[in-house]
Amino acid sequence: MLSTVARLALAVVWAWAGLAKIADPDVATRAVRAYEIFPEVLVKPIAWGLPFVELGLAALLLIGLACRPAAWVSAILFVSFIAMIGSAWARGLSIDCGCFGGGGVTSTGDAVRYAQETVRDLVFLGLAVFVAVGPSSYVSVDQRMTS
Amino acid sequence: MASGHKRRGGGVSKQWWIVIGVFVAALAIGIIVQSSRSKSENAHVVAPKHALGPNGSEIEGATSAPVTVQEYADFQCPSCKAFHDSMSSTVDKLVKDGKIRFAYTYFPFIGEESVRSAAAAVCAGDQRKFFPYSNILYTEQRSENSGFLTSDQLVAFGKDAGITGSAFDTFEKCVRANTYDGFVRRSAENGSKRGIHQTPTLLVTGPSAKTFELGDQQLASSVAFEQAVADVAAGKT
Repeated sequence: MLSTVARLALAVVWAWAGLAKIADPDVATRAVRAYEIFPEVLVKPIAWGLPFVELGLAALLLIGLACRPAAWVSAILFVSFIAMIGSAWARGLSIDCGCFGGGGVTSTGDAVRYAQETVRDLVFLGLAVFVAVGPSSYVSVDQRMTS
Repeated sequence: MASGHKRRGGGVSKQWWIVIGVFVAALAIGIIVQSSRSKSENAHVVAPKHALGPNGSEIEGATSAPVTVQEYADFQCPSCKAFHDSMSSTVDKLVKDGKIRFAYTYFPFIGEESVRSAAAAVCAGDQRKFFPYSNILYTEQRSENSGFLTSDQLVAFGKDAGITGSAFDTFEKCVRANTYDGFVRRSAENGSKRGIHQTPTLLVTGPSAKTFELGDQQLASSVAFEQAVADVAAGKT
């Protein structure tokens, strides 16, 4: 039961994150570029591909198809996000994480909340690991295929 | 059914292939769909009819000035208004004294009203009224994306900026046709590529160079700002 809830919660997180980033491709581009991590050739593929990957993961988790691998991939992504936020933080960059939309650009000084963003992603990471290694969940395609 | 799956031994690795397939397909679809939707990617860029400074900026001051102050700003950004309100008299003074050349670079990122107002300001620039027009945009600034900056409103601001007669007709047509929409979008994209990720950002360049962002006292204090200009003019880093 708990793993079903965790799986669906993870699906909602990905759906929310993906949809928020799709609205404006230019905003997404600026958000990725603002981290100053990726070479320019990779900025747009990441900015434009990632939200669709997030929606893909949301769909898999929602219907419960290939849940554990999808959760592992989710966990890897969250670890990467936490590392990127930490890197921006350590380098003293003043950016918005762009996690749920937003252009990585800040127009107000208090908009930077690296600690909050990190804690939030740690919670999501915990959720993903739980889905990946926890008990099987109900109402899933995986379950129908294996029972 | 279960034994069937297990006998074939493909259960787990097959699931991984599903996830990898979805991942790659989503990535490819995303890149294709979003590149067709990107407004800066597909922007029809019309070059302004008036002369521009570095990075497509609006300039005032003598080219002989030893220091250039380039500001990246968005007319909807509250901190840009704050900088404008507290520092424009200092900037004007330094420009008049021939100490700096001031360059305003379009960086509209807050929303469609940012793009619209920036594009209208370029139209005002065509009529040699960029700076009076930008003063009005800051004076009349409302909350971000409130719906206040309609084409009608932006046209009306032209009158307030002192655009009259046939120049006003040209200005109005320019605003209503969204003539410079692509130009200002591309300007923001180029600024982002140069590492600008907040507004206002001030690049003070001359014999040396300094960058100031939100929170730096040079954006709020005339003394600190003039000191920074003097330091750059003296080649201090």
